[in-house]
Amino acid sequence: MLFLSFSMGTDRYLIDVHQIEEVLPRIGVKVLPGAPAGVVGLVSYDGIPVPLIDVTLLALGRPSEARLSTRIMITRYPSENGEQRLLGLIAERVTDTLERDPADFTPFGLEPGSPPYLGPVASDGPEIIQWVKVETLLSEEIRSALLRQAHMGG
Amino acid sequence: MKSLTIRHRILVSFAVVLVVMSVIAVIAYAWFLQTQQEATEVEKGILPDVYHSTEIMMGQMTAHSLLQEYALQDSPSDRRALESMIATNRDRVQRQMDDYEATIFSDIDKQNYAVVKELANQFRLAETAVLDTSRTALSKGETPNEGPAIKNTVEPIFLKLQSALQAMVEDHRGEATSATQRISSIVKTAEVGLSVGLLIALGLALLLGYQLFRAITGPLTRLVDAVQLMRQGDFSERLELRRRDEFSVLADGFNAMADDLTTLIGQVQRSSIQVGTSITEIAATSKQQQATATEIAATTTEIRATAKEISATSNELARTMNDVSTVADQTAAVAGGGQAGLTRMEETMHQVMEAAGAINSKLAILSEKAGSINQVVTTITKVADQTNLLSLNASIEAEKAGQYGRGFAVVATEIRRLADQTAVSTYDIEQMVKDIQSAVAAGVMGMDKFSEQVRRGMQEIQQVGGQLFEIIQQVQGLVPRFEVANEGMQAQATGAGQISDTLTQLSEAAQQTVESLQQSTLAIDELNQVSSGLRSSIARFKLRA
Repeated sequence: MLFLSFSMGTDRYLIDVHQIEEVLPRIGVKVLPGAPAGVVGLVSYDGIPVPLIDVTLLALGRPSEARLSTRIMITRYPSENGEQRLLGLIAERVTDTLERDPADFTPFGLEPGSPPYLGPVASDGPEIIQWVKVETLLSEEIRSALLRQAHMGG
Repeated sequence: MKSLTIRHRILVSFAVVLVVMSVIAVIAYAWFLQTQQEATEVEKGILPDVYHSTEIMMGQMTAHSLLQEYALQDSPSDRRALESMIATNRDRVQRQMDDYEATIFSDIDKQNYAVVKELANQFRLAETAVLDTSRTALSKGETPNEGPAIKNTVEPIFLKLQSALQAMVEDHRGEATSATQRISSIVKTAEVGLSVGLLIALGLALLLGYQLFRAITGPLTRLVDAVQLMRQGDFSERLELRRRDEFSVLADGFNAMADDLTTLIGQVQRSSIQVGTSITEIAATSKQQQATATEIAATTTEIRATAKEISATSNELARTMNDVSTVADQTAAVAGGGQAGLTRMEETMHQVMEAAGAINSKLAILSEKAGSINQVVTTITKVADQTNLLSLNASIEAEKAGQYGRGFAVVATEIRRLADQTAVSTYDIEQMVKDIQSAVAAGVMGMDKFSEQVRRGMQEIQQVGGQLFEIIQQVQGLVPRFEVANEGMQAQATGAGQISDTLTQLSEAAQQTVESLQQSTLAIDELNQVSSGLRSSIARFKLRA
């Protein structure tokens, strides 16, 4: 199974490539003033406005650094009524893929109290890598805000 | 008491004694007045009473004896004579009684007089009855016998009257006696009072006199002692009387005078010491001057010898000057050669500076080229990034295609590996270009510094050239000055001869000065003796510390 890797701080995290539509360079971002915490703006993908979440801002409280390796991942996630929705994720060092067996990942034992998007972990040489589930990245606040936007758009 | 002045003390003492004496005199005067009153009463009241009552008594006794004598007479003529005598006596007694009545004042006297008057009337009536009876008998030619009538009627009345008169006289005598006793008691009281008063006055006078004596003699003795001490030359004592009178004023004056004298004598003592010191200094100075004058004489002799030496040396110097002038000409020629060499050196420096400018422009071109390489590297980096992105998306798509995309996925991974290698190489190139750029910048700075140093060297060469030019000019200008100096030297030799002559005169004058200074030393010795005398005579005064 193929994973796309990115960084938050010095650690590496993985996202299942089946959830990823495309990786884009960090250009053409429209800023949304007064958006909920974590939401940084909108990006156009095939003519559709897609909301953008800065993963580094969400997890570490600081925006991602302005580098060429800082990129936008267009992902799909299932909404309440079953249809697929698009969400842009900004993350640092989105430069590599990784082939791993899902059975390699094990729970890390501190799930209660940790943010819900942190999934099971596996070791890659000396470092530990962690699986991030896209559908759990959205807090209730952001999810409802996005829903309102979808209704207005639809 | 301490604050009373002597004048007040004297006045108060006399006033006290005078007051006591006056009181005694007033009391004595009162006593004398009382005595006089008593005496007047005795004279005016009691003595006339005694006199008149005695007279009345005598009159009655005369009347009684006349009546008895009448009874004894036989001849009618004798009887008539006695009758007239009785009448006369009766008038006298009546007058006495009237006089006495005028002097009656006391009640006892009045009662006594009333009894006497009544009895006297009865006696007169009885006497008149006896006389009438005898005259009737005579006219009838009978021999009158008055004896029994007198014995029966007149005698008892007379005895009563006599006793009444006696009582009256006794009463007056008693009055006189008591008045006399009163007078004598007053006199005795006056004697005692006067003695006591005189004793008090005498005691007061003695006491006040003693106080006055002490108030005057005490401070006077201290004043005399202080004056005695001051006469002996001791000015350290001061008077402290602790009182406020004429003596304190005197003591203040004395103290002020002693202070002034102390200040004056102190000043004189200090001045005499100063005079002594000054004289000693003058003596020392005069001796020094004497020594100096002697030295001057010796020194002038030495100077004279030196002046001669100067004259000889000046001549020698004039010769040396000519040699120096020649050497100066040669120096000017050598300096001119040096100036020409410097001008050539300056031209070479200009060429070096131009070369440095050419190097600088080459370095600038090099820096520009390095910048172009940097742009190319940036472009390569962007391409590598795009390739990486492309390969990522390709990998994702291949994964999604599953089994059919597996070969494509391998290609995509290979592309990404190449893109990564490209990125690393461009990073190395970037670092190398940066090194070249910093080296070029350092080279430019070094060349700038080199150019600056060459420029400074050129300026210094120009300065040295200017200085050499000045040296040449000055050396050329020296030659005429050397000739002037030569002439000056000859004049100096002449002047030294003149100085020698003048110094001979100066030596003689110094000798004269030495002689006059010896005379002034003698005068200073005399002055010193006088000053010593003054100091010893002022030293016997002892001043307060």
